[in-house]
Amino acid sequence: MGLIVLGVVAGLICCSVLVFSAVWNSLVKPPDLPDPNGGNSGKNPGQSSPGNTEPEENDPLDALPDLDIDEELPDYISDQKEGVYTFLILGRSDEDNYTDMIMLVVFDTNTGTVNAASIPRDTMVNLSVDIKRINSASGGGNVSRMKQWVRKTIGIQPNFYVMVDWQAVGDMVDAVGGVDYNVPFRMHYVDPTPEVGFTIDLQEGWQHLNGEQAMQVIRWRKNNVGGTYAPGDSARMKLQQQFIREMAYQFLKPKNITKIGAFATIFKENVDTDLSLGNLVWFAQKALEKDSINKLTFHSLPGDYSKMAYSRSIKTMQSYVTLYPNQLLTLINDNLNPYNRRISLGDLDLMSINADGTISSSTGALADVYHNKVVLNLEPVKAGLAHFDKNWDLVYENPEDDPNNQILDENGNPIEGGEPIDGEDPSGGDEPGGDQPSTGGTTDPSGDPSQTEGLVAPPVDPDPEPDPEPEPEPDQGEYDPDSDPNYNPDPWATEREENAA
Amino acid sequence: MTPKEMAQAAAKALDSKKGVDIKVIEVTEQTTLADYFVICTGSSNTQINALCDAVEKDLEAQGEKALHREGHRGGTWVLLDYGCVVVHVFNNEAREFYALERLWQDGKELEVL
Repeated sequence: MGLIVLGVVAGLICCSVLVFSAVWNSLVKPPDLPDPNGGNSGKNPGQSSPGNTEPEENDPLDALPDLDIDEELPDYISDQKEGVYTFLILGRSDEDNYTDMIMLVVFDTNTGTVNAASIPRDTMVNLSVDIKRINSASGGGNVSRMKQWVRKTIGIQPNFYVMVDWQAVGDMVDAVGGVDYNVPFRMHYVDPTPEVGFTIDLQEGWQHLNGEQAMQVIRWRKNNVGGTYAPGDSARMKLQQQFIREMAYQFLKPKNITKIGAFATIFKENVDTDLSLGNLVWFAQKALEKDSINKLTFHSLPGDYSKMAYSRSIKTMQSYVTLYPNQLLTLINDNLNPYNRRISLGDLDLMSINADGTISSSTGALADVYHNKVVLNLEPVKAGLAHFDKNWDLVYENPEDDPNNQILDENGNPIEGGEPIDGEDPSGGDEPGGDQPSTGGTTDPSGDPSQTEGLVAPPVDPDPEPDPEPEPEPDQGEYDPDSDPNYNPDPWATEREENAA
Repeated sequence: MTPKEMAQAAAKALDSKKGVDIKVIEVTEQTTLADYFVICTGSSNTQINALCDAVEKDLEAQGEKALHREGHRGGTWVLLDYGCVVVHVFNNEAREFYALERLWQDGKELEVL
């Protein structure tokens, strides 16, 4: 939304100052793309683009190394199509500073086409920490880190960003004297924490919204008054997209030309961006010239929007969104890809939540070494037979309850004197499996049948998702394709062939 | 110590270091994975650490050792996991963001001593 609104405003500014065109001509120019491996890549968050410092400079997360991606940007990022630009639009609410809306916008200035894709804020990303939502990965609005996770999720490293406070949208709507909008259903939500004092109360149907009401539309997630209605993140993103489109149309009205002063002030106060004013005006000119408002398409990322995964910190299930790789790649390459080369699965790091509650990454390397062993060992803990120790290993209160201490014969009867095993240890490195052959820390199911028969869980496969990626980390060994009904030994085969072709 | 005594001792320790908005939520009927959540807000990373240190010290003096101490989000959320009792100390933002009280709103809130 920020971009469009910014673009519109910048365009209006531009129109109004045509008399000063000589001055403007020196400013209004196509932007130089930041060096993707340079300061703007976010590899050094402290040194990223100048506009990037305001909300993040005190971000305590900067000190947390495991939220950073320590790797070079892939080569294809620097081979971007001429005249195509990508923007990350972040919406955040004032009071908690957490990103509420994440949108990638691809603007083809050759044709005027604008494609925008909303990334669900609950999208699961490959973090080593317990909570793995993309918006929590980026901390209190750390843009560089968000850009990196956007690239890991859809393969596109945004060139620029615009961060919008919802308050700015409200002020902007007020500045244009409100906006006409068809509220799709009765929205009624009262925040249960009275201190937050946040209330949404809108009737269904066409109405003229003031700034405050417009913010309610954008921030709505669910009803909790007069029955609950919670269609989830995906419905909310559609709502936001619909509203942005409506606003873009209304902002383009010529009568708003007199409001430029008010707009400029609001932007100065509320929008944080690494675009220069000159660049903005240039984009706005292009958008007006090419009639982009009628070439604007919104996309939702294909995925499962109602996944749940266990949180060992909160001790309950947390909701996540996981994306469907093949459909996602089709969407990206057909509509969003700004690069000359196709984006393929190998460029992404997509997470999946398996039927047994374990998680896996499409790279084969799971950053969190604890999640899967906790999930697989949860039952005895729930039953009160065991607890987790410091390393999240299972400790039975009564050793006799430990199935690893009972080696069963082929009829399922305990054998005396069986040797306990630690086949479920996903960290691998700590105890590389005693007498087992060294297989990079993973358990070889064919190695010693007597060891695997006693396990509660079936034997682990060292490489459940054969992947061209080199050297999978041992922690993915605990994912067990045999117990996953959705397991497909090589789901990316088609994609690889297409890429090879 | 019973889980309830542990939770109350933790709340007391948090109070002694001026933790804000301390809540003890009983979740025995909602889950078998924990009995009590003790939630508290600290104003800075330093205070959050001091609050957790106080809980660890007081409970250790009574023979209870934390199984895990984990810091999330650069120290804006630190938790002490005693198995049956989990102590969460947040800064303001993180507390609102994770909204544990809402997540466990079916639990019974105990009077903090």
